[in-house]
Parts: sequence; C-alpha cells; structure tokens
Amino acid sequence: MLRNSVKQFSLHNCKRTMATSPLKKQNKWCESLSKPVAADMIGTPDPISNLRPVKYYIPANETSEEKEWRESCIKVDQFNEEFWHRNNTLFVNAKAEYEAQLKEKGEEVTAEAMSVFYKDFLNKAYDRQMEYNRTWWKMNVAQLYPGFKAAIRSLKSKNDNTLSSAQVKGNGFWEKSFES
Amino acid sequence: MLRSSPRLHGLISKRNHVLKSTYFPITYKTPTTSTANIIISPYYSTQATPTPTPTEFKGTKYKPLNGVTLPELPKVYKELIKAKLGGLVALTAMAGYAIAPGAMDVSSLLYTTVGTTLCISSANSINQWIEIPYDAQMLRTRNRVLGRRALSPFHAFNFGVLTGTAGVAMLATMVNPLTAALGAANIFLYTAVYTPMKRASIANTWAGAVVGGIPPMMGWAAVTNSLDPGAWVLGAILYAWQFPHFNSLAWNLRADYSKAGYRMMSVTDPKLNARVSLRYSLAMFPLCWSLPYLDITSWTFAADSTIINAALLNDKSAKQLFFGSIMHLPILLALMMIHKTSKSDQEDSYEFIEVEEEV
Repeated sequence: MLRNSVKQFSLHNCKRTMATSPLKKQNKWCESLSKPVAADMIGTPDPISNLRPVKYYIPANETSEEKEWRESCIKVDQFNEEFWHRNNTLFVNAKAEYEAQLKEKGEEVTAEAMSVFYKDFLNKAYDRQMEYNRTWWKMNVAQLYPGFKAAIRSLKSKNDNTLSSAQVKGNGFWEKSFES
Repeated sequence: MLRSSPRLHGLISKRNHVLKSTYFPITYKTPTTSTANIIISPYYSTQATPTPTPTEFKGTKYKPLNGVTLPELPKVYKELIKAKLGGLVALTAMAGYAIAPGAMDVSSLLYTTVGTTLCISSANSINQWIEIPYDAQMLRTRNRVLGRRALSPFHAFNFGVLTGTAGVAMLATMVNPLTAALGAANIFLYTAVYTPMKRASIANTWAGAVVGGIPPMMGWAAVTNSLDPGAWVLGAILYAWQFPHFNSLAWNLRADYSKAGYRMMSVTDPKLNARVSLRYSLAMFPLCWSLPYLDITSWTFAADSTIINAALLNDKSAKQLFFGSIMHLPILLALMMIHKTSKSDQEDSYEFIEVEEEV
C-alpha cells in the first residue's frame, strides 16, 4: 500500500514538472457561483427534455433591440423545452405502464414486445409531433433575420459577453474569486 | 379488455385520442423507481438514453458560454460538416470519376472532389441547423455543435449556404454544369426533402438513398459530361447499398427514434425493415454484374463482387451488418477500379464494330 501511494505521488509530481504550459483557463462545470459572470451560461442537458438550458446575460446598457432578440431566444428555448419535457415524460410513463401490463400477463419483457410499444407510441404521437415540427421549422427560419442583425451588432459593438473578454476586463469567474 | 380501449380510441379518432388515451396522463407522474426496472433492464439494450430518476438527479450545472475563438473554428467546422461521413461520400464521388471512361485530368479531379465536398458540407450543416432539438434527444447526436451552442444557428446556416454556393459555383465553372446541377439537386434533396420527411413518413429512407446514389454519378458526369448507363448503374449500386447500411443502424436505435418522433420502418414495421435490407442486398448482385456487361469493368469483377456481396448477406446481427456495410463499400469500389477496362480494350471493341459496318 505504501508502494502504491509512493507511485501515485511520484506520478503526480511527474505530471506537474512535465507541464509545458501554465494552468489553462478551466472550463469546469460549477454548481454555484460566488460572483456573477458577465457571459451567457449553458447548462448540462436536462434529464427529462435532453436540451441544455441557457441563461442569457443581461448587460447594463442593453438596447431595446438586444432585449427583443434575447427574449425571442428565450421564447424559442422555452417552447422546445416544454414540448420535449412533455413528450419524454409521456414516453417514460407509457413505457412503464406497458411493462407493468406485460408483467401482469406474466409475459417476459423482450425486445420484440417492446417493438410493439415503440410502434404504438410513435403512431399515437404523429399529430402532436407534426404540429411541433411545423412550428419549430417556422420559428427556426424566423430567427434567422434577427440572428443576422444580432451578429452584426456583436461585431460592431464593444459589448463582448464571452469569457475571454471577461477575463481581460477582470470580471471573469476566476479573476473575481481570486481577487476577493 | 379495458386496457386495450385506448388503442381502439386511437383507431377511431386520431385527434381526440389525446384526451382519452391512458398514454396522456393529466398530471405529471414521476418515473417509477421500482425494482421492476432493475429486473427488466437487461432486456432492452435498445434504450440508449437512461432517464435518471429524481432521486439520482443532482441539479443542473452551468458553465460560461464562451463563443468559439478563431483557432478553434476549423475543428468546430469539421464537426458541423460531419467530416468523416463527408469524406466517405467524397470518396464515392472520386470512385465515380475514376471508373468513368475517358481521360483522367488531375485538376478536373481536384475541382470535382473539392466541389463535391463543399456541397456535402453545405447539406450536412443545414441539416444540423434544422435538427437542433431532435439531435439533442438521441445519445449518438447529443453533443453536436449546435446542441452545445458552440456556434449560433445563424452562423451554421450561413456557413451552409456559403459552402453550398461555393461548391455549386466551383462545379459549374471548373467542371461542367451537369455536375453542378446534380450537386445542387443533392443539397436540396437532403435538406428540403429527406430531413423533413424523417419526421413525416418512412419513405424518407428511399429519398435518403437517392441522396447517397448521386455523388458517384456526379463523379462520372464530371468526366463524360453525360449520364451514361454506367453512371446510372453506379448510382443504383450506391442507392442499393444505403438500405442494409441504414436499416441496420436504425434497428438498434428504435427506442430513441420512437421517443424522438422519427418515422423509421425499424419502428413502424421491423419486418419490412429486414425485408428491404435483404431485398437491396440481393439487388447488389445483378447491379454489379451489369458493370462488366456494359464493358466498364472486366468479367473478373463479376466474380469478385459476388464474393463480397455474399459476405454482406452473411452478416447475422444488425451491428455486424452495419459495420460490414462500412467495410463492404470501399472494397467494392476498389475492385471496380482495379478491374476497370483499360482504354485499349475499349478502342478494340469500337474497331470491331467499325469493321462489321464496312462489311
């Protein structure tokens, strides 16, 4: 056991001494922030809807155009989140119900039996899914022109909400926590 | 009998069943964490996305969304265009160029390849732009560029349009208009026909197979500026290949497709899925034999291809078939190129016909 811990220690030292670059900026996932960060935040995928939630940063001098763009992005994200949350919950519940039914009848839960369920679920969901598809396609296209304007704005303006510029300005996450 | 009534409702009124079926509960029910789940989980390896129960979920973690920096951009673009898949498709186009009869010109081959690659990149980028929320639902595609917001949707769309325009323009000016037209048609077919059809009807697999069959025809048209019977046979071979390739992939993903609302025959009609895959695997035999018949390859190719196609038929499981199909195609294309009839052979046959006419 002592040999193992010595091995680990020397290995660890080896890694540090052979490092050719300084400690790189860490894109670590954080559970809570001690100071607010001047950048948009993206989250881990939601366990039910599988979509990644995004929190948009609101700069102090936000113009009405920027506000409109941010709010339309939030609307689209919410629309998708709502649909997939509902759809995936329905799937999981329906699947559990189907399996319970099978066990009641004393049948084994095989891949063939599940295929029957998958087909049934897909067919039942057809109208609901097509309505979502059409709405999503329309929304996606409708976001193109405002997205173009937002891209032009971000090119022109000095408001840079990315982490690298936040580090330069000194209010990125790591700068803040070390200074205070 | 009462339990089967939701199904009956589904048959009678497709719209009203939303309210009456037990598949649509009124209140949100948390997924059960009963021991039943643990017992039956070994049976469905098809469920690629395990849904964690509320007791396991530890909360969402956030990280700052730094926009992509310039040095990172090439890597992100490579992911956006699905570079590995695109590379294989470009190879089929190059194979079409190599097999077509006629003088081989290195610069024209280069322009054809670059132009085709640009067209493929365009199609793949726009497809990813359309399918942002759908890709997130499937484990295989969850970490794509737009899902993790490495690029904005506008950026991806713009990139797609630019590469498509550049690709078609390059083919039209440096190769020939026929190849450019085929490239443009392929982009349209992939983004505007195949992608929406995936959500609407199982016929999407056939439309998608056409998309796969066009690149070698583009390569051929780049050489001869026409679509000879040989080009059509080559396209048909690639078209037929798509079915065992895609159907075997789709078989293992049926749970994800069903959940995410993709209409694939592996979900709606598994037997059809297997039949279609077998049907087109068998069709590869006569298609490969017609290449020597049209004097594009020697008859040795008929023998070689029969062995290779039989190996594809021999694959027992879906996983075997999928990986088998990936190995099968490059080998088949290589054999075609090895057994291609040389120019002297073709000239001999023309001379023979001339002599006959004189007599």
